[in-house]
Amino acid sequence: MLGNLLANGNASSGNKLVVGGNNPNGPNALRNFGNLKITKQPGGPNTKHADGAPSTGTVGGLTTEGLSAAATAATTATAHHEFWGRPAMHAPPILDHMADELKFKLLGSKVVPFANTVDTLDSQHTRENSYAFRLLLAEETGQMACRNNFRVSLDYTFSRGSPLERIRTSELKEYIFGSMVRATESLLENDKFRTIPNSDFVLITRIFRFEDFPNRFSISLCIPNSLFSVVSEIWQDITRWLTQTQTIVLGYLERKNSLKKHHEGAFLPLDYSAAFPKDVDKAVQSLQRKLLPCFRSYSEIPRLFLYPDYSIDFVNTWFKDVFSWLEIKDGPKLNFLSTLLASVVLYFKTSLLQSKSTRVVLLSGNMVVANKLIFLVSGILEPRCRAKLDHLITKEEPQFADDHLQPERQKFEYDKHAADVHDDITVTSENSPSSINSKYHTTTKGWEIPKKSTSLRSVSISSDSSGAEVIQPSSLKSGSSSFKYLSSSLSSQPGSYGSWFNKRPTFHDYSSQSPTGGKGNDSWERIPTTLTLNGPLQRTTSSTSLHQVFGRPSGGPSNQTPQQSPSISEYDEYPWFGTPESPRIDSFYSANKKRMPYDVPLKEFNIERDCQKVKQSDLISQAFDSICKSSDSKKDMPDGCEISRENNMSAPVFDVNIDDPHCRDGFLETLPLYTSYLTHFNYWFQVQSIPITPDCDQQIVSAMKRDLMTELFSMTLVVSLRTREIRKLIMKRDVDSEPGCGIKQKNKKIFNNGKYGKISPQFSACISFMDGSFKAAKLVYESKNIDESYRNKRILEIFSSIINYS
Amino acid sequence: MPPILLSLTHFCDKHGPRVVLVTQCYLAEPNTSENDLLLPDYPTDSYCESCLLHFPEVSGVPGDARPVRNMRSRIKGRTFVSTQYSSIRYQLLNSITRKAFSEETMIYDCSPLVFFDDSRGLNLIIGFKLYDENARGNERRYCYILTIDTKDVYNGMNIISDNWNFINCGLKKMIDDIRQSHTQVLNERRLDAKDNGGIDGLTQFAVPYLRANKSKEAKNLVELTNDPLIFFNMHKWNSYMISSLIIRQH
Repeated sequence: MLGNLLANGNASSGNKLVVGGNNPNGPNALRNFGNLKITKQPGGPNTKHADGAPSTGTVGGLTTEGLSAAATAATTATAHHEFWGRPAMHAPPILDHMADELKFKLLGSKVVPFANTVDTLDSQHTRENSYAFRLLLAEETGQMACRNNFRVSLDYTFSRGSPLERIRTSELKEYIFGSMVRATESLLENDKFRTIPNSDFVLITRIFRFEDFPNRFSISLCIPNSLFSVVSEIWQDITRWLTQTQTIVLGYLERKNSLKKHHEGAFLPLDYSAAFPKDVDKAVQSLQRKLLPCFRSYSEIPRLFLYPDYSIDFVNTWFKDVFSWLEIKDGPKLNFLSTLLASVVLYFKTSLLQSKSTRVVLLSGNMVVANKLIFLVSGILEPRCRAKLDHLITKEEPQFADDHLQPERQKFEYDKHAADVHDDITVTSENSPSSINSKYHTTTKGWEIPKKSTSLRSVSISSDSSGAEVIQPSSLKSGSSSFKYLSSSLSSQPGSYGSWFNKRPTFHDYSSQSPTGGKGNDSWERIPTTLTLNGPLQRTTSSTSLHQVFGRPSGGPSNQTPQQSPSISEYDEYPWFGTPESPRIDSFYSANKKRMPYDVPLKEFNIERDCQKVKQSDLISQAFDSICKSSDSKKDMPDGCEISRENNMSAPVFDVNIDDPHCRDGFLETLPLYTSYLTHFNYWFQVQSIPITPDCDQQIVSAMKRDLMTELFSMTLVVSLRTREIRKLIMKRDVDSEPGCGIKQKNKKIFNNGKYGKISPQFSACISFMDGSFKAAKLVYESKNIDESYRNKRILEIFSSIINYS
Repeated sequence: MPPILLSLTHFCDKHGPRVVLVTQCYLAEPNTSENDLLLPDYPTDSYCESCLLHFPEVSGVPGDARPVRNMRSRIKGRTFVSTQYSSIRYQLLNSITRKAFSEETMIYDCSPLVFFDDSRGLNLIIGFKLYDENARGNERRYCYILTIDTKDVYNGMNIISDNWNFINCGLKKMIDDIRQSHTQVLNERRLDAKDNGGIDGLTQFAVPYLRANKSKEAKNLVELTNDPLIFFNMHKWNSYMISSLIIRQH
């Protein structure tokens, strides 16, 4: 990851992008834009990019030393993540701020590589950045015997000096039109996509004809090879864009046909962009604003891995998180979680499977809490993997490439004798580091998974030689309740103080992109290690600041000072026990604070996957060996086979016995469009969590209206963690009305801060059922006199009854 | 669920684009029979060695002199049949094969090409070639083709999308096995030639050149891989793959 960053960074410091043309709005702007040239410059630190973003001499705020160290890491990263025949792959930026344990829960793996071919050096401009692409509009003239029997009317490249520019059009023509041999079927409109040999690009082509014109016309799009596997998944969007562009060309051909002006066998203008700049602009804009974001969303956003419902480790973890949520977030009578899960099971679970216009959107300023809730919600969703996990789990746990960059971290272990200190500890501004340190001792083993006996009562704090500092949010005044200051950093496990104890970060803290350090600490909120290098630690909330998420250039260390976290509002989002305005801790769920047998982190699962799919090459090899290698090739008549005669009409049949290896049964290769916390609402994802912004409702409504351009019905479950509100947005379109017209919108409030809207008896029963199930599970876990197998069986039964509730 | 076919096709030196083996699944549609997929005995005069499907050499049915022309398997209650050509989609497969070898600029590097039109449905083609000094251009060209016979491209594309890696890895697995066996045969042949005191590095290149004007000899995949069960295994693997694709869609 850093490798690409450094490459880009070094290049950008020495190169200057020169955009041709003086008038960017003129008709030549597009052509100039498409012909960006890179010219060597002396390489000053203040060289500007074409988009105006400064490119500093340092990258990500690192010094030269840091660069060399990071470069080593980058080499390792590139080598390590090069699998599946894809170019250098690294983790998506959003995952930098996710604790490893949460990655296991949500994604099934700590390592989720993706091939980022977008120059995201300027993180603030990430959304404007785009894949290199090349758009061609060509026609094949009827002169079969002529070698140059084609004409490229438009050749538009957006590539910033990509090798894509250097592929000759005469070569592309071979892949677009093929050979001169024609069958009658080839007169039909046809679409295709394929790789371009000896390059890292894919060619998507539509070939069509117009009335009785002898020529064949083509619209072609070249995109990076890393998107190859996504093409089939978003084929609907691709064909929509192709059809839109085709309509533009057909409009021109119709005008041309009406004028009866033909030019030497060619119909398209010699230079389409010069003749019809607006048409080209329309096609390119549509490509950049609609289709390429779709490509990016599908290929770069990691999707959730839904564990099999028979996996006891998963179910244990799920129940553990449910209890934590009930204990810390919900309180005794709020019923927020029960209502949410009941809503999902009753109204959305099936609909999410059947229609892409059904969504579940969680609104929260707190990424970690939102992800916790995403895990709980996704735990009851379909389609889940039902394959044997043994086939999917990698034997060796992959290491982050930058692991070796991480310093020898010290771990503060909570003193066993101070085990009950969480009940009476008072964390105020007077708490000096020394007073905190007095309750801990350090080890030099680095970060490690807490052992069973100490897990509940241990706290892992990233530390170097200096003492830990207690950061107090300025927005809160001390005095009313000490627990209030723990705020969202309070662990789901009382006793773990998580991120409030943080320290002045060192270089190593910045260079470690994954919060691997906290992997043993199931803290509900962890502070990301990406902080400013200069100056003291900023006031930082325990949740990951959105600015930090944005501020990460291409996965590298951020050189931006974190802003005041917008997620400060999280203090208002949750009722913190111990405060006068918050509910009391539910004694039922907090009664037993001893370590439960179900408290096993999902660490042994390490599914080999990328953002979009789960890997299965081992599984295929196993199946192949089982099916094709079992028979003895020397034998003429393999075992279990026989010759039979069905009837007089057909020749004798050789009946072959196949031992189905069953290893792919229930395998889910392409993961559903469910994801975790995103910084922006994403139209294509059905389950997601986004920050609360003034226009988030508007974004959701706009997305639903967009759904109705092709569908008749769209439905979204909007869950606001700030107001503890659950509502259902429904939009319908009359069958007879045109797309975009005759829309009826309904906003149904289900739950608002403890109060229910109009709910059906069936829904009420489902909420009660959820509550009852949670309590039943809790009782099973707390029963001391039952053996493990029986407990597992009971827990699986309870979980099964939840997810199969109808 | 649209019909899914897997076929091995070959550009025969003598006969042009030909289907060598096609595996189909019986979908139990109304007014159809499993026997519809089975072929009668057919003359092999119009095939040469390079494009003929070889069945394992087994003794026929007593009292029936006809040779075996069908391979059949059952997986999870579904029937899969492999034959030299498709009895019910003959034209379709011929058209697809022609397009793969003659109309498209195929690169035989195992990278997939996907195309769709209303008449030929959705097809994923992976091309590969084997070195053979007796073939035109010293190589034999093959295409492994997955055909989803549907006019609903989105439905077909969903199948491909949901199983993109499985399809590509699965086809390549078979291709790699063929190529591995073929390489082994070539190596053995070279070793034999060396042992007989014949060919060194120079003459190895010279031989095909000098033979350029001589007539080419048709060779079957069985001979190229020295594996009499190559088509037998291919039938099993194709059946498994189609079965897996069908199950995923249900």
